[in-house]
Amino acid sequence: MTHAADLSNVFREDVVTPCLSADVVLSQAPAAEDRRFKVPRILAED
Amino acid sequence: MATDSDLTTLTAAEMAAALAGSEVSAVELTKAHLARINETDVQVRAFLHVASDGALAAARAVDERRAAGEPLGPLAGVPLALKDVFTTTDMPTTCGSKILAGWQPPYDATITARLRAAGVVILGKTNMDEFAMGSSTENSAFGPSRNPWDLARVPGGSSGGSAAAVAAYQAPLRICGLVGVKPTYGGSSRYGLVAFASSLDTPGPLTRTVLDAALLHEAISGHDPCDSTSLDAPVPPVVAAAKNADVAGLRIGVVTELTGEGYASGVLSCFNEAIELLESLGAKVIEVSCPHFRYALPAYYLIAPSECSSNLARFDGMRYGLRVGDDGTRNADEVMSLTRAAGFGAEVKRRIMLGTYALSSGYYDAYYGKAQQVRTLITRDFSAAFEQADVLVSPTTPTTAFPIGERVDDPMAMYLADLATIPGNLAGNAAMSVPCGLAPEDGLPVGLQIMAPVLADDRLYRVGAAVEFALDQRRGHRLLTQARGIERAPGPIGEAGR
Repeated sequence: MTHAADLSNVFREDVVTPCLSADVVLSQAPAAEDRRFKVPRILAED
Repeated sequence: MATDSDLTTLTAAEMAAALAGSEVSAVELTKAHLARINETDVQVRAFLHVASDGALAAARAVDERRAAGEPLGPLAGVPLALKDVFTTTDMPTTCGSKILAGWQPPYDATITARLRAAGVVILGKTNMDEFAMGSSTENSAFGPSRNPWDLARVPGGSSGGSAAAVAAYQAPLRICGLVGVKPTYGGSSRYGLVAFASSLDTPGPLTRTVLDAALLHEAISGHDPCDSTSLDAPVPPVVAAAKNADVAGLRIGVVTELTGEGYASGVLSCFNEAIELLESLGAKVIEVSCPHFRYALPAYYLIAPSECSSNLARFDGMRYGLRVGDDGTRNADEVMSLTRAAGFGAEVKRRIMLGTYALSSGYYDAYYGKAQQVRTLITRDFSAAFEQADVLVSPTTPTTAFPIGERVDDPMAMYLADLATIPGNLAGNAAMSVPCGLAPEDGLPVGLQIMAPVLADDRLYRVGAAVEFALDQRRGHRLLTQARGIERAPGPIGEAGR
């Protein structure tokens, strides 16, 4: 079962719509730098 | 001029009529509700956030538009509390979890946006079980809300704060003596609803009367291109159905598997009275059997945790929400683990672990896959039953509101509270709970569950309104006027059950 109303393959027109600005999105980040999310290192040190 | 306490006991439809007739302004109505919250929420603890300034500004805007003669929606100026699962740009959204404490979403949920556009005044955000996982609000990271009928009892869940708020400003849902509706899955948008189990999550109204639920149902429903599971279909005529309230000739099926053993005697006596009442109003009552419903609870507790474990993977402490242990010495994996260990409560962790296990390689087919097959069988049971009956009915919960603390250490007992509502949740059809009396043994409200086929939500309102009207007539007043919890409140409540 996928949907109560037998709905599948939902498409929309491929049009550009406004989206959130980077500033707005980053305003809630635990840490940010140079308009990017700042995260702890992901690779182990040698 | 009506007093503040009169204003907070009105139904939404009555408030709307008073606003339209200029007997009261939206600002007066909002101030009365904010005062009532201030007076009672120390005890009830329904709210996680009260938005006094925002609510008054929204109310003022509605009053100005009304004064200017602009056309307004039927609920313009009526106050409402939003469950803290809906994103709001001007209020924090926590979903009852420490991992989202203080988070200010960058966008409004579709439902939030529709309410604002309808001129509904949002008073604040209400308490809930963490990520909606629970049946009592005891799983909220911010402490439980209390049942205004009896402050030592739970208000139900996961929307307990909402239920307590709607009931308290009289004196959730089924065990607070309220009307709750789960629209057909896809009938109300999930965009901006913090995800728990995507194939099950269904936002809906929680109100004092069936007509109020219908007005809210209509305001929040309809196709949303931002939610790919949203149905591009007309909204069922729920308001007309709530006003019609005619059940003559309607075929009502009592689900044999959802009555009897395990249900409290007071719950069953109220339920049976409601059935007799419907028969006296001209409905044809029959018994129907749905043999696979007995597997609904185990299937639900594989499907819901599986989807939860996948959805909650997003809370990784990287882009928003809590981050713990990022002191420059730890890598991302370690910070993620520390963040999730500190940010999630016990029930959420339990479900993430169950779900991760059920979805793991080699077990997926045996658990999640099998549960989805059971779900299809349950859906077929519904289809067969709806060939014989226009709506199905059962008690909403096996017992009335249980005392705070009674089930916190026994997840299975807690899960059983949802026994009767889970089959409809799995199948995705429409369901309503409407109060059908007070159980003789404890004087607490009992809910009648009504279930209708996909996109036949209007049938719920016909039956619910008929029951509500007949019971109000017999009683001589609305059920909620009997709520007595706040008045006999025993001060701050201790460490129940800890």
